[in-house]
Amino acid sequence: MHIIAAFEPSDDLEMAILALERDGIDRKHIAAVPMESTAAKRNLLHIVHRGGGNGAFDAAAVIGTICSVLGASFGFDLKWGPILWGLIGLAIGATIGYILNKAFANRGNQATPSSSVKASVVLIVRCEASEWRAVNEILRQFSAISIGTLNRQEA
Amino acid sequence: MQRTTASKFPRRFTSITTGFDINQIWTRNPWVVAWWSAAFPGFGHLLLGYYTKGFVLIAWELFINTKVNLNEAMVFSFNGKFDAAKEALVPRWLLLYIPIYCYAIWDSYGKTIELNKHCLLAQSEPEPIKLFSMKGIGIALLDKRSPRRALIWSLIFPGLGHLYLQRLPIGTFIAASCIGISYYSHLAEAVVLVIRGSLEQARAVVDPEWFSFFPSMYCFAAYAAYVMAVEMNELYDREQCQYFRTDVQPPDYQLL
Repeated sequence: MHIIAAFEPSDDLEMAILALERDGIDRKHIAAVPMESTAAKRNLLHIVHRGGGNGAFDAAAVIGTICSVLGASFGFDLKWGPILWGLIGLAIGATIGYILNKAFANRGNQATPSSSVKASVVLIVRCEASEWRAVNEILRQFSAISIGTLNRQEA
Repeated sequence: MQRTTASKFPRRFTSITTGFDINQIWTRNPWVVAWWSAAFPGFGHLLLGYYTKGFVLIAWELFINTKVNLNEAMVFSFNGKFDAAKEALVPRWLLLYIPIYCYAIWDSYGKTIELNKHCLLAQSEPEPIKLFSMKGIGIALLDKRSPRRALIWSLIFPGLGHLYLQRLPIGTFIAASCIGISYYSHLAEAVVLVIRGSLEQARAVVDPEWFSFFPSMYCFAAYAAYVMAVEMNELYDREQCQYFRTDVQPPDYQLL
């Protein structure tokens, strides 16, 4: 039978494989399949001139910085002074940038999976019915996201 | 499109792990990089991984800006005191500021496009990624890092986020710059006064010339720490997936 588990790439996953081997599962009976995202690939020239798409934080940082500098400058003539106005400017600017990004990012490609879905790895372990419980326990300990069984026979 | 390269001498790679630093390039928006260079010459280069060039440009900016009194003039201008602004500027240094400022913006924009192309080419073939490096001087281990934690450490004090990401040179440089700026602008004193509620006194004690470096430095450090953590995690994922494809997929594995 096979036990199939989904993981996020992590040291825990390699630890799980180590634990399985220590528990007597033959290395030849373990396979890890990295899953590739189905998100549409961007045009190469677009990536060269506009970046690869991890820019969700850019607008908040850029507008936050502008407003923070302005806030601190104006703050020298205001009662609360430059430190507080700098921080207030940063908060306002970062919020504006965050909202703009939410509003304008991902326009027109709703069909693609959201970037918050992380790359994952599927681990397939072949084992005897008597080992099912132990393997399951190990996968659970090393933070598998989900676990399934193929051809389960009762021990 | 399988290209083969002598494995001992990879033509293109996008990251390096040394005993005290992890340097990595990824595809970036050249306008965002150029904008950081405009906010503070040198920041664009730090973001790209041109650390030495970035350090030199930032040191120059700190020197020339305080000689010209540019920040002070900027604060006066924003508050409508144009005569005071003209008065503050030092003509003896003023003209020397401009060429290097323009160069930093232009150079970081062009370099981003160059590196973006290089990145795409490097990732089209199995790129060598070094997971672990240990030298007499220290240890660097490519590992998952929380972008949020990097951001929070950087907001507590600029530079700490980079140290958390195992980037010793840039973390140390940013922390040292911020300590210098805090000292000369009397920032720490002013923060204590603000916490005590003496806002007027706090405003009086802050030096506008030095303090005006701080907002962009503070925001940049937080931004860079966050994006570097995100990209480092992606690098980790790529390295691990490569390992699984080559080492944890037995060729004779039969599913049924």
